Amino acid sequence: MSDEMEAAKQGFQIEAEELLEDMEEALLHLENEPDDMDSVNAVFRAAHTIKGTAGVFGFDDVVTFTHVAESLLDMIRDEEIKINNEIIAALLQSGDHMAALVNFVVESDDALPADLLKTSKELIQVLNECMGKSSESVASDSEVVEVVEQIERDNTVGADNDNWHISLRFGLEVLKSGMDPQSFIKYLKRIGTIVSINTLVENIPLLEDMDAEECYLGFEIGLDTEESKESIESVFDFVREDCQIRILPPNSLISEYLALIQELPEEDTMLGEMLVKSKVLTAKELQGALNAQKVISDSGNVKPLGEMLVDAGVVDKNVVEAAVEKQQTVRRIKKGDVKSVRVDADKLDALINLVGELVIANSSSFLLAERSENPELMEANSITARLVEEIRDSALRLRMVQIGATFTKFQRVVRDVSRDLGKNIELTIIGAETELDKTVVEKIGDPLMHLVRNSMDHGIETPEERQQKSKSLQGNLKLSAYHDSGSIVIEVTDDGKGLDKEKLISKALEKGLIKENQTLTDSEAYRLIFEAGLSTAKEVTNISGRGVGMDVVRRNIEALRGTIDVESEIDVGTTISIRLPLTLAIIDGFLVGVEKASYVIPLDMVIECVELSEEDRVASMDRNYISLRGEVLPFIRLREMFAHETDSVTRENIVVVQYAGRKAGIVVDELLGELQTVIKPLGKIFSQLSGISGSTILGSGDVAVILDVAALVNRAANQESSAMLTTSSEAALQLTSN
Amino acid sequence: MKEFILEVPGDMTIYEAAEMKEIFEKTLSKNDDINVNLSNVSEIDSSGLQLMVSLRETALKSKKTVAYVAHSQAVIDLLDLFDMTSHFGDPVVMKK
Repeated sequence: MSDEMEAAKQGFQIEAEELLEDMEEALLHLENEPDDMDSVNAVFRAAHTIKGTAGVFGFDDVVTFTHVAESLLDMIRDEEIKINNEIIAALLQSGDHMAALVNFVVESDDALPADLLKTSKELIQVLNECMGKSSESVASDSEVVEVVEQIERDNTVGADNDNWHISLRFGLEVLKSGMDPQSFIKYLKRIGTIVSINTLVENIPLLEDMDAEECYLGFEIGLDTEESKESIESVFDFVREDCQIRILPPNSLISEYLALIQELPEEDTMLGEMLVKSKVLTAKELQGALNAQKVISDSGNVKPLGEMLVDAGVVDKNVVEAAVEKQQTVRRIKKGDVKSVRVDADKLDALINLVGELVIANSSSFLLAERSENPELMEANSITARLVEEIRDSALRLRMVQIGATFTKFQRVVRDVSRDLGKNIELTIIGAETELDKTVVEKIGDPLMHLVRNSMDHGIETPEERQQKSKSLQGNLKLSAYHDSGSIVIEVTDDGKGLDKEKLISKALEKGLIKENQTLTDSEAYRLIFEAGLSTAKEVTNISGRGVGMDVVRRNIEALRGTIDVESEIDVGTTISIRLPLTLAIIDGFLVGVEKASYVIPLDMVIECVELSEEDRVASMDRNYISLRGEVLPFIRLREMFAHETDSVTRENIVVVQYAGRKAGIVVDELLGELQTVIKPLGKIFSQLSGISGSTILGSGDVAVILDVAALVNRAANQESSAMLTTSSEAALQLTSN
Repeated sequence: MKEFILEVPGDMTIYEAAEMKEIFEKTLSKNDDINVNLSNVSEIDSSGLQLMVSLRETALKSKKTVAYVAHSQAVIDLLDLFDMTSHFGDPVVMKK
C-alpha cells in the first residue's frame, strides 16, 4: 500500500476518533436534554461523516454498520422517533463499536474477526428495534450501502419559509448582449409572487471606474410559486452562461442555506443583511432587532445582533453562526493567520531533545566564557543564555495541552459505571483549561481512571444509604486541576462515605504493613490504601476487580515524579490529590556541592539557603533537626546519605526545601547557584534507588545527580519522627502537621 | 455653493448609458449639491439604475450630495420592482 494511502487512512482514524468524541459528548448531553436538536444534529453529523469517509476508502464494514445508526438518527431528527435513554445507550455502544471497527480496518486488511462481526450484528438488531423494525426486515448489507445518498429534509428551518430561494449574480456582459435583469425579475413575478427581493448594488463602481454598459447587479429573491424547479430555471436559460444562479427549493436543508451564505461573494455585507437576503428572516424582523440593539447599546450594554436574533427566537442559531463564521473567515483571511497546525508528536519530541542539548551546550560555553574572564564574551554568552531560555520555554509550551480532553472522557465512564453500580453520580469538572505536558497527560489517564472508578465503587454510597444519611441522593464526583508552584495538582473528590482510619490501620496491622504500636498521622493512615494487598471493600466488584490496584496507581504517579495524597472525613468525602511536575524534560535546578560531587535540587522546591551555624553544627551531631527561627526543621546530610568519605568540613550550608506543605533541610558543603538542566533518566538498574530522580550533565561535562526532594523530605520527617517517638510524641506531631 | 438642478433629458436605458455617465461625471465635478430631476425619464432599465447608484456613491465619497427628485412613473416602477426605494432614501411622490 502506498504511503499516501496509509497517511490518508491514519487521517481518517484521527478524524473518526475526534468525531466519535464529539458524538459521545453530544449523546451524554442529550441524556439530560433530550430535546436539544443541536446535539442530535451533532451526533448525526458525526455518524454521517464517518460513513461518508469510510465509503471513500471502501471500508464496507464500517459503512454498513454506521448506516444503521445514521438511519435511526435521521428518524430522530425528523421527530419520527422520540429519543430516550435506551436509544442513547444503544448509540453510545454503537459509537464504541464504530471506533473499534475503524481502528481495525485502518490497521489491517483482513476480514473482520468474528467478535466484531458478532457485535455488529447484535447492535444492528438493537438499533433496528429502536427504529421499530423487527430483525427479520433488516436490509441485507448490499442493499444498505446503496441507500447512502438519500434526500434529506430538515424541519428545523424557519417555519414561514415555504419559498424558493434564488440567488442571482449577473455577468458583466448581460446588458451589452441586449438583456436586462429587470425583465427576468418581471418574468418571475408572472410565474409567482416575489416575497422578497434584495438588490445587491455593492459591486457598482464609482462613476470614474464604471463602464456604464456593463452589469454589476446581483439579487437575492424569495419566490412563492407552484412551478417546478425546471420551469424556474428555464427563466434564466438565456443568461445561464454569464451568470451565477442558485435556486434552492422550499424547505431546503439549513445546511444548504448555510452553504449559500458561505458562497456569497460579498465580503463586507452585514450579518443582518445576509440573513435577510437568504430569506431566513424578514427585513421587518431584522429592523425590530436592530432597533432593540440600539436601545440596549444606548444603555451601555451592547449585545451582538446575531445573538439578539437568536434570543428573540427569530433565527436558528446555526444560521447565525454560519453568517458570523463567514464574517470571521473574511477577517481572518485578511489578517492571513492560521489558527492551528497539526504537528507530528515525534517531531515535537525531537525539537525538545535538541533544545535540551542546546541548554547543556550553552551552559558549557558559559562556563568557558567565565573562565576566560573576557567581559564581552560573557556578555554575548548571557544574551545567548537568555534566548536559549526563551526557546526552551516556548518549545515546552508547544507540548503543553489542556487536561480538559482527558477529563471529558470520564463523563462516559462515570455514566456507565454509575449505571452498573445502581448509583446516581454526577461528574463535575473544574480547571479543564489547565495545561500540562503532553507526555504527562498520556500517562495520567490510567491512574486517574482507577481513582475515579474506585471513588465511585467504594466512596460514593448507593441512593438508599445516602438517604439514610440524609445526603442528597445524587452523589458528586469532582475532577479538578490547577497549577501550584511548578507542579500541577489533579484532585479526585467524592462526597461519599470517606475512609475509615481505624479499619485501615487494623487491616494494615493484619497484613504486617505497620507495626503494633506505630503511631500514624491521618494522612499516613489514609495513604495505606495505596499499599499492595490492602482493600477495605467487603466484596470485590467487577469495577474494582479490573486490573490495576491502588499500589500500581501510586507507582505510576511516582514514575512521573509525582506524589499522591489523601484527605478524608467520614461521611463527608475523600479527596485524592495527585501532584505532578509540569514537564518531564527540563527543570530549573539549584546546584549544590558536597566535596567534589555536584547535586541538583529542583529550584521550585527551594525556599531559602542558610549557613549552618557553629552551634547548630555542634548540636546537630546527635540529632537531625535544627531550630530555624523557632520552627523545628528536620534535615538530612547529603554527606551521610551518599556516604562521602571525608568526615567534615569547616563550613556547611543548609538548603531549605518544601514539598507538599512540608519543609526539610538538606545539608551540603557548597552552594553553586542556579542552572537550567535537562533531565537524563537513570537506567533501569537504578530505578529502585530512592532519593534520586535522575541525572544531568553539567557544562563542565561532569555528571550531577538530581535529588528527589519528595523522597528526601519524607525521609527527613520520618527519620526524625521515629527517633522522637521514643522521647516525645508531641514534637513529632508538630513536625508533620506544619 | 448653490444647489444645482440636473434635468435628465430623456430615457435612461443602455442606449443612453455612456452619454448619461459623462453628463453625471461632468455635473459632479462642477457642483457640490445636486438635485437630479427624473420627471422626463419615460424609460429606465438596469443600466440607468446602476448609474443612479454610482452617482450617489461617488458624490457621497467626495462629501457632496445628490438627491433624486420628481421620479417619473418608470423610475418608481423600477425602484419598486427592485425594492430599492429605501436605498436612495429620497422622498418619492406616488402618483395615482
